[in-house]
Amino acid sequence: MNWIKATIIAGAGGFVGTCMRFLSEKFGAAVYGGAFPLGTFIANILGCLLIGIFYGWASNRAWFNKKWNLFLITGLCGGFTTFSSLSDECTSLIDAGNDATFWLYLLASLVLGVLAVAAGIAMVPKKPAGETA
Amino acid sequence: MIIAGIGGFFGTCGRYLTGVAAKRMFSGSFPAGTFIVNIVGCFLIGIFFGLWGRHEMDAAVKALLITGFCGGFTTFSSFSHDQLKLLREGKYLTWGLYLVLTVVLGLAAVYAGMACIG
Repeated sequence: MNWIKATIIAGAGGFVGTCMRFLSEKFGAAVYGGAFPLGTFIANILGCLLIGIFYGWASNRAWFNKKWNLFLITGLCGGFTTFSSLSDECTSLIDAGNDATFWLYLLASLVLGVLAVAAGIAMVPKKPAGETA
Repeated sequence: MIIAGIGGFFGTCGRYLTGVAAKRMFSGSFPAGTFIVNIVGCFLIGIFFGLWGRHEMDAAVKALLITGFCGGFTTFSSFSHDQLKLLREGKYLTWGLYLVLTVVLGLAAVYAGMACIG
């Protein structure tokens, strides 16, 4: 596969993931009006869960080829999650003097993010070799 | 939403290509590609908010550049997966360095981007 095709496949996944994050941010703002960036938080943690599931598939499913890797992992998960919004939201909280929410948001994101990846991987049943279709 | 998606398409393309380049330039276990896009993306979000104003920015511009491009260019899922991988491989020093540098420089980059615009 040439690099142009690979880039477009990743980009397409990113388009989908970013749309999902956009909706998550709208949802978060609609259901909760406080300072905690709920929409970004949900997208980031769910995205980590998904990347765990996809990596689980990558390691144990014959059908999960490079194209799926590009679309789902690089693309969808990469588009669905964001580090720039997280950092910017943290600076806003710091500037507003909202230290408690800043620390809660940062630490919850970091800890639950890693745990969500592990949970996603654990959710994928490991098939024996020869049965990975 | 579609405008955000379009920004995300380009941001993701940029992240993928940066990752490919980083793999060629850097060996070792430190996830250079993800690190670079995350810090640069934070810097860019600071620049964009500096240029347009965080509260004054038009919704479409925000969707395209902030939610879209910066959001697609950076990633939290790969960052988290990288951490898990380093921990499982027992590479605690690299993990600690990666975590602290990403968080601290990420925050600093947002401020630096805004300060560049002044």
